[in-house]
Amino acid sequence: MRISLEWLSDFVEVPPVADLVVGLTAAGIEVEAVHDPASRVTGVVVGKVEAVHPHPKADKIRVTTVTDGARSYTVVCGAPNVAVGQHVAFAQVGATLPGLAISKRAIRGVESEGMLCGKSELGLEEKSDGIWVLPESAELGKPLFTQVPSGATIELAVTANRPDLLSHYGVAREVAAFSAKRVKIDTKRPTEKGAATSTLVRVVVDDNKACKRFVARALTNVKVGPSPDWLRERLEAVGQRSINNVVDATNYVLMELGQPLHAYDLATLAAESGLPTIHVRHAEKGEKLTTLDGVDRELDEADLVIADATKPIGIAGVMGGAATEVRDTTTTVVLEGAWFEPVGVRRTAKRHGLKTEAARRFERGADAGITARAVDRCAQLLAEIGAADVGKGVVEVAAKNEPAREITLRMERVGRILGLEIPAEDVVKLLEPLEIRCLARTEGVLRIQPPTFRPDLTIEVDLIEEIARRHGYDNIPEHLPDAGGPFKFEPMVTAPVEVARRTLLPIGLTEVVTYGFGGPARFAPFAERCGDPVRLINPIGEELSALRTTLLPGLFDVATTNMRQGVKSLKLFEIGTTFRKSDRGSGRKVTPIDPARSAEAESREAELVDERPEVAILMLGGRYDGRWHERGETIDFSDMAGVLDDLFEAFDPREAVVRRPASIPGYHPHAAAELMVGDRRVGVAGIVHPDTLAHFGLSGIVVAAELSLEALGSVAKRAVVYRELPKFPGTRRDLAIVADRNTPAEALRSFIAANAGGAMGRDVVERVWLFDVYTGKPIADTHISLAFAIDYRSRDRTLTDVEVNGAFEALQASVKQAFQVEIRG
Amino acid sequence: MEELKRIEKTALTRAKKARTSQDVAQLRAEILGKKGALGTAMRSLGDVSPEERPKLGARINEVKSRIEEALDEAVTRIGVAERDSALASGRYDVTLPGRRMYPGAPHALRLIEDEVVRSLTPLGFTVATGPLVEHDWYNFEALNMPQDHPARDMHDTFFVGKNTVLRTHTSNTQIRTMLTRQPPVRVLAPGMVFRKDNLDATHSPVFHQIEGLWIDERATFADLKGVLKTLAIGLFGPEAQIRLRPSFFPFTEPSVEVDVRSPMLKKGLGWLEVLGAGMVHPAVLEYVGYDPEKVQGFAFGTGIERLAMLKYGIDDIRLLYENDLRFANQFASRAGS
Repeated sequence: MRISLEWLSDFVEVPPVADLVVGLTAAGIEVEAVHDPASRVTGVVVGKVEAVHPHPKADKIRVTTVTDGARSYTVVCGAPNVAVGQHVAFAQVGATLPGLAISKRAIRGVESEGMLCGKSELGLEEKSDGIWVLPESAELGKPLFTQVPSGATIELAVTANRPDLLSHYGVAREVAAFSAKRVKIDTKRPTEKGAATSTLVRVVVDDNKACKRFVARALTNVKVGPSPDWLRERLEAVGQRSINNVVDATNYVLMELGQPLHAYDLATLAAESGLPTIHVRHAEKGEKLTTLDGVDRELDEADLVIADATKPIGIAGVMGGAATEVRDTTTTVVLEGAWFEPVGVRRTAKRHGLKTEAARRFERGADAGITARAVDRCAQLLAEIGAADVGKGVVEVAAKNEPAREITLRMERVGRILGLEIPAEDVVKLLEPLEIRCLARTEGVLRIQPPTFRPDLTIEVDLIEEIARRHGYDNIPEHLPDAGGPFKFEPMVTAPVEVARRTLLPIGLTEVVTYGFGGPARFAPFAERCGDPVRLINPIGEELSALRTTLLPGLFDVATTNMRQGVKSLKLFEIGTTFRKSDRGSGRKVTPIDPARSAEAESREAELVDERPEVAILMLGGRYDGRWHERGETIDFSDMAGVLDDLFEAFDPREAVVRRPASIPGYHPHAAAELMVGDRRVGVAGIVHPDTLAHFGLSGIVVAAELSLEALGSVAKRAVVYRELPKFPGTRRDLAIVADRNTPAEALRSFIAANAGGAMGRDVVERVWLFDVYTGKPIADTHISLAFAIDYRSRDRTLTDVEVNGAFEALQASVKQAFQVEIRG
Repeated sequence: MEELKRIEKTALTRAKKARTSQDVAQLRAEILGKKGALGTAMRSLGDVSPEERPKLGARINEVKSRIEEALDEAVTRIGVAERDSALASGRYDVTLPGRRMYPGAPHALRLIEDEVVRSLTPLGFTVATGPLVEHDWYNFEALNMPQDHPARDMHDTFFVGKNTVLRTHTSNTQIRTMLTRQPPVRVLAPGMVFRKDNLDATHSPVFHQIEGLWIDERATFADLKGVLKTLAIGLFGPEAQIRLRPSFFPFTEPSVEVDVRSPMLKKGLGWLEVLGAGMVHPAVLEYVGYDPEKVQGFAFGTGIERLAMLKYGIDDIRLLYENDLRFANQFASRAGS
């Protein structure tokens, strides 16, 4: 809302701009911008043109004599409109104007002691025709902007709850309150000399809930024409276009009092039993209306319209119709002032995609207490400027007066919410300047009546906010809340996220954050595993229309971005949510404390989607980022396996996490694994399939993993119980196995661990670990040599060579048989 | 006797000149070995008269022990020299960068989120999360924004289904928490949120918020101020100040916009709007099944991107989502990488 300070000063003494901004800010009215041309102008005073002579050397410029009341100056002026006797804006030597400093200088041989300014030079308008001729009341020698308004405006960001601030008068009320001044308003009624309104128009309101009040006033002898300058200038100052005097007057009142008005050409209204009739009713099926903006609109039966005897002539509270608008030929007008119900106006405005000044006010709540006065004000204005005669009386249709709103305010409650005791008499004094009245006061309880222009004040806590606002938020003490009471365990739901982050960052992975949605094509390579993405109904564009089903595309993008910068080695992870379509909805169990709410909570979950907190890892390039000790090694699956082991260990699982070779869509068919905890898959990992990489413009060896943080977080934890250190010596046997390359090492290792004890049992096998992997001669290309060390140790005796050798030989035989492998000598 | 003197002299001179342990070993063999010079001398004792024999024998032993001493000395001297030379060839350039696993860089948004969490958990807050695809009821209605509420205009919303949206704020977590927990409730809710904004230097359709909610029987506006001050100090240093301005949110009453000022922030910025807050609206408490006559409390929320941009002087929100390592690495502590 743009407020003209000059206009504001009609209603309240306006403090200096800086104080005004501070006061409004503290009152919770955000000042978005201050536009004050005066702040960019110095040294300009009111002068008077005493003489005008032609310039000796130029036809189009004149040499003037100008006085500032103290002495006379020679000023060269190029404006065609300069004339003797004019009061002018005189920029003296040393003055500053926007982008201009005035000094004494010769113009075509004549020395000029300053400049006579047009409005454009003062920054008041884009382009001026000649100099600004000031009113004669402007006192000579006084700084310009003490004598004429500068046109200063402020831009207010008015919150949705304060429709009362969408007017100059409304803002004036707040200014008066915080600056302890009185607000003044002219309540003069128009001089009525035309025919009685009731003889000219009839009003029928069908739905008095949607339209609580309708006031019509007839204007006769209307002379449509341009508005006087002062009216046009005020409207333009607040960003309104001048149309004609009648429409301007309605807009003027809108900006002044906040009440939307509409003017109809009475002659265009269809009559009913001989009298033009206005109906306030809902649109009928199939009805159409061409609105003022020239758009043909199909009306909805839910739309409230203004209609004459036969057809809609306006969308109530939103926009009038083109056919009944005031035009040059109009001679009789009916002014409409009404109160329309906010939700209906909002729905209708939204339905028709219309954002109008009227709708903006109605949908937030217009002041039902000002409807009649606004109509009168508009009529009076038009009479004053000689644009119309005002008819006698009004036609008013109003719903039965609702009792005025009353709110009970408990002083105990004020203290309890604010943490500050304020005596009741102070509360009354704080509220009074806002026209919030105390009707009655009993022990600790006030009966309060808010004014009609404050639809936001409906319950006790609304008043408490007003008290706090008037008292000053800065004057409320600062205190730390007491988390007292018995200890209550709250699960830290983000623990898995923290564990993942704490583990992955120190081992060299950088955390990235990417968008939760993207183009659907990004997720196509993963559709077989992750399904089709959930799509938005109203995306910004195709490329941001699908919720991610996997975190990998985001990581691929980051890789591309960085490789474009010449990065050769990357280790990245992202923690984020992925989304899956699901017939079961979210699958989330919501248990309200009130069991009666369980069913609705459940049905809401059924409409949602399956969300999964995941961590994804991507690595590629040089193992040591090309540092000095790197000998050409590049990141391969073993690096990922190591990272995953670190990650799993950080979750401290009771059961080992096993990488099970698997074919996973999107990954290398022979270099990918499912990550298993028992029967539960907690994630997948592998070398990314070259086709997948190509889809994202990448190539080479890229290893990736995707894990469910929920699954990781919920694995059974290891319980640490100390075991006595071994007392007896152990012994080691090495077993080198030549196996087919498709034999998983882990399968061999776990078989050995299970069988190496032989007759001594499994307990004596302390550890089985891989210490060498060999391919090449003399081993066949199809085979691989895997060498395992077996540490034998008993907890209660020294094992003899005989029994260990026996077990070891038996083991070799069983490995050979089970895996069809050779043992290397 | 002359011979003995000559042997000694030669031996001592050669011992002194010996440069390697092989030199010493050879010398030892030549002089002290079975077939060595002294051995020959010893064997010549038989040619000497019995009276002379003990005297000469003693002389030989004296010479032998002097030579042995000289040889030992040579061994020690050579040992030291050889070790020194071995050390010299093992010179290591201690200025080479260490062989280490360089840590990755944390994301700026996570750093801010962590700072908020770390600042407030000591007061009794825990962390809660909520879904990103949310039912209208949690995102709007229960926050006192029923259908057709004008405040919905402030939220340009992405729709997923008829009644489902991408959450426009993390406040849905507040509702979910209250709906399922008895007071007292003290949670922080961080996470990704969505608004239908086009991407430019200061807007992003995806951003992050963190909110706090405190409900008990007596939490006041004064308590809210204390928490906000704690948070401001946690984020912007011990000299941070806060300023509260009245505002409007449908889910709080009174409502507050919070401005922060701190010498830690770029000079000349003055008061910066960083948070919205307020006392939880009684209607919200009723929506979740609480009795507003019995419990009350406050809530606050802030945009993590905005905080990160202010704190680190980032002038383009897109940098936070591009994940250019040249940007990311500025948030890592990796000396010499």
